Amino acid sequence: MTADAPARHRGHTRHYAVGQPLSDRTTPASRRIGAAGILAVAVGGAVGTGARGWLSMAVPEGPWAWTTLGINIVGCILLAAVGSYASCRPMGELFRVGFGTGFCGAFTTFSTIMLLFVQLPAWQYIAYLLLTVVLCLAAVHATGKLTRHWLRSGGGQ
Amino acid sequence: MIWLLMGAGALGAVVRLLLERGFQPRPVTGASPWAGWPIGILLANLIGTVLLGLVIGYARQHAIDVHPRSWSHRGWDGRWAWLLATGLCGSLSTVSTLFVGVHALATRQPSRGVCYLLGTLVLGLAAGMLGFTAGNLIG
Repeated sequence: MTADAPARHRGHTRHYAVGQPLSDRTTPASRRIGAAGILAVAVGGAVGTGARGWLSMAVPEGPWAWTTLGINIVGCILLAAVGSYASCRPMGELFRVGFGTGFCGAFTTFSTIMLLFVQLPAWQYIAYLLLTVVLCLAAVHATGKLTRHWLRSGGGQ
Repeated sequence: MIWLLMGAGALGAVVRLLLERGFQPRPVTGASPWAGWPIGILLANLIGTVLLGLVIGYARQHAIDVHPRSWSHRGWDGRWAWLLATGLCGSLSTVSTLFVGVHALATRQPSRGVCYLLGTLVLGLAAGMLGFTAGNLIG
């Protein structure tokens, strides 16, 4: 058992795609979320929501809702960075959940972009959704690649 | 006000966490029809979108401006709407987890990622319109 432990660890690390949420892991420990985890998510969620609320007041949205788009892209980058890092290096469960699920999850918002059809013309709304999908996916992909590259070249040791 | 907003955001994030964990993606073994799909995040997004539609529809019907610039004139109506919309709904729904999940699904099987993304967008739009229409009808 002891001898093959490192090999199993390597296999485990390779098995999961970069950026894949670690909640996909089947280890029982990661499924349990205690009171401390809930508290961490509450704190992260409060800070993320506060940051989004403050930005929405400080930066005028403009007709294209650029502020929300920017917030969503930044949140995607942060979450992908944390996910990729945690899939290759040890990271505290509380920080991962508090920052990932709490901060990044609360900072970005799906409901707002869904309800933009109220204020945007149809063609502009479709373009906005397409732009969000393309930019967010590109952000997740690029961040995963960059983080993995950085970790391979010895970063974060 | 920002503290109340943060409180609403904390609540939204915890509800999302419970939904996410309650419908945990399982390895694709065929044990459950939802195996491998992040159903909890889809639910959180849909609930958040319906709620926001209700708030925005109701606010529009009653000429309530959700934006903070109008607060001083309109008492608590705008503030409540802002807390619900920006705080609770904004925090309950998420784009970052959605796209990281789509990317993870697509990495293993592109069709699954496309399916989940399109499903979320279509259902999300339907949820938004449903909530907005219902909010318009209230009161």
